[in-house]
Amino acid sequence: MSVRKAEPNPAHRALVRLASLGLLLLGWSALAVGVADPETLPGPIFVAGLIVREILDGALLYHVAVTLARVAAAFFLAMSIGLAIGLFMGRRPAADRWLDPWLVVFLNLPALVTIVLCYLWIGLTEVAAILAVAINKIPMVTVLIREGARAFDPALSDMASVFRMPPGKRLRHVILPQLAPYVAASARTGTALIWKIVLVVEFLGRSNGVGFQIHLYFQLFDVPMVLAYALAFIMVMLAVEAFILQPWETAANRWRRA
Amino acid sequence: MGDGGKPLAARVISVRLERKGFGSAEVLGPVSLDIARGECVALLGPSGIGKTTLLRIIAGLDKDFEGSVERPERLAMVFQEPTLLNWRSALQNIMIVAGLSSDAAQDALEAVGLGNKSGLFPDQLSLGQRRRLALARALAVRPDFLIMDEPFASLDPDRVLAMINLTRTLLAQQPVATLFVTHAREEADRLADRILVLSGQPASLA
Repeated sequence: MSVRKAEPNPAHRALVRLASLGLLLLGWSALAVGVADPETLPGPIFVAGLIVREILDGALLYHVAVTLARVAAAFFLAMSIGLAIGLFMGRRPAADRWLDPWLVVFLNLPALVTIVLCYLWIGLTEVAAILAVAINKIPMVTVLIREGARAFDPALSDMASVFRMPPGKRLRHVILPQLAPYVAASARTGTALIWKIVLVVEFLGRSNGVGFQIHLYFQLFDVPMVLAYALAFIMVMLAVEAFILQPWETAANRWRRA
Repeated sequence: MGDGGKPLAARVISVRLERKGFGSAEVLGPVSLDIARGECVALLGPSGIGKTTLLRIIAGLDKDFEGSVERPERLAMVFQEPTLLNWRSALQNIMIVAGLSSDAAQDALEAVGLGNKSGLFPDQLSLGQRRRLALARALAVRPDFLIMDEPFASLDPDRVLAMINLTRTLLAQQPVATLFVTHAREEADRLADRILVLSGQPASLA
């Protein structure tokens, strides 16, 4: 891991990112000025004002918190089940041959179908909502973790068995560190997918959360409020990615750059 | 093999292999081998003869063979590659695998001259240092039986000598039965009490 490609310095990269985002906002503003109707396309400053108003005397924080809790629950459910199945399939070729067609079926099941079926079978409950999101995500975690499990170094497995490392230690110090890049990758793609599905689940069958609020303002044809809720939550998820997932990924890979 | 007369208790490891093959290809013929406590046996033979295959059978990593192997509970191995946990520091590598306290692991590092490297990751060490770490890890479990598979491979000649001397010093401090595989006659001469040569097709001891 000593060879790395040259990268521009971090300050320069951050500057480019900021400038790029600034251009996006500028384009949005220009479009909004062109449309000249805040009810159809409000500008960024208008939406920012709405977000602040909703935070101060509206229910935005409550709905964001509810949605965030659902994202977290679905995330941990999908990650732990996907991790277990992926490890099992990656290590047992016979099981892999049997389970792979199922995986293909579940990978191709549209999110909307799982959500509707979960609500119909289980009812319009929290369990159904979180389960529906998790079912959508589990196959993708499984596929990534299976790749990781196939790439295990057999020499390390030999080492662990010669030295009679107990299963718990083996999992924590031999297996999971080898899986870490794959777990980090599935966690990142996972959150991106999960929060989008959570909004759909809320849209269709919950009475709180960002998705529910978007449904509400959709029925009221209130574009500014739809944008306010959507953007507020996008910012929350970007923050989760930048301040939780990325640092964790960096820490997990610290030894590579040592 | 004149070991038949040795008292059973002194024998730490006893191998009675009849045959080993991969598919129809027979790799190993009859191999009978005993090693006593405190004894260091070298297994010599050209590359590709089946030394590693035999070692894996003796270590219990390969169970698909005809014959029997009696081995003690406490086993340690130095692999051809250092085979370290690259995501754990040198100290943690010993603590985790051998189940030692940090003080005891630090002592094990001192014994191989890596006392000041305890916080480094294996990728930050040279190959020679990684090999010494692998040796320290193996001896830290206080094994009854130590297996070494080409432990000095791809080191500079003067490093090999230093490493052999270190290994000999450390082995003298523990009553361990050692089986050590190499293709280099002089390594075997320097370290082993007894040299066995694996040869033939299928291979057996000469």
